[in-house]
Amino acid sequence: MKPATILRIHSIISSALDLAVRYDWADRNVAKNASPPHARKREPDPPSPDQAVRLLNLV
Amino acid sequence: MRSDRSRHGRHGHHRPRPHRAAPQRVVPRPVYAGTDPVTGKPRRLTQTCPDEASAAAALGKLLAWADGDHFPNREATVGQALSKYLEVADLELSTREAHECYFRRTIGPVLGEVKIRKLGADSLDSLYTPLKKCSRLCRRLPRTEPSATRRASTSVMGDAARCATTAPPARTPATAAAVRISAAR
Repeated sequence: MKPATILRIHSIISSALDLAVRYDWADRNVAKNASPPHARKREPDPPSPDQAVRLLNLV
Repeated sequence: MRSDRSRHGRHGHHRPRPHRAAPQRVVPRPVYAGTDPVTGKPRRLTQTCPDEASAAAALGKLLAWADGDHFPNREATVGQALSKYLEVADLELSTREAHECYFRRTIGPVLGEVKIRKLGADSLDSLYTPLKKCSRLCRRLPRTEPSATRRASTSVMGDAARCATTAPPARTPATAAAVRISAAR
């Protein structure tokens, strides 16, 4: 599973626990102290202008 | 002889824990809070505290709850909180579907039955770390069937099932329970 997906799972759990705290079901949100992985920024590798020209000429 | 009223009195007491557990810890005696409107059974509130002073404070809080109409669910599980969240949260349809999918596939089988009050940050970390290596926790999570909505959308739109693979039926709850990550501390 990618870090971004785990981060999403963490945010779902955290939101649910926030609600539980608001409802007095819990005293604090333990998800605030958990350490989910950091989502890595995507590094796209687009075609260079020359490659793009060649690609479009082929079409 | 003690009257029924005193046995079921709503005033509460501190009930010392057995010595073998932790001599200084006390538990307020369950505070009677009327009957449950749904089940009709008597409702008793209780809370474990680290010392006498906080037990007295907790007892006051429980008595206040018993006097009012608001009964917080102190035994709520993560699954209940997530279900409630999905019920009340203002989410777009696709976001809701995705959240339900993560709940059904990953969060529910691992943490669904865990009580929120027993949950710690370490329990969550011990879920996140193995998830990095394998989304099914190396086959410790059961395979799940796609939801009815997902099945409908995949059949109509020809979209690949992103949620889960079909094939064999889900494992029994007992198997799922056996693989649950322990959150008890």
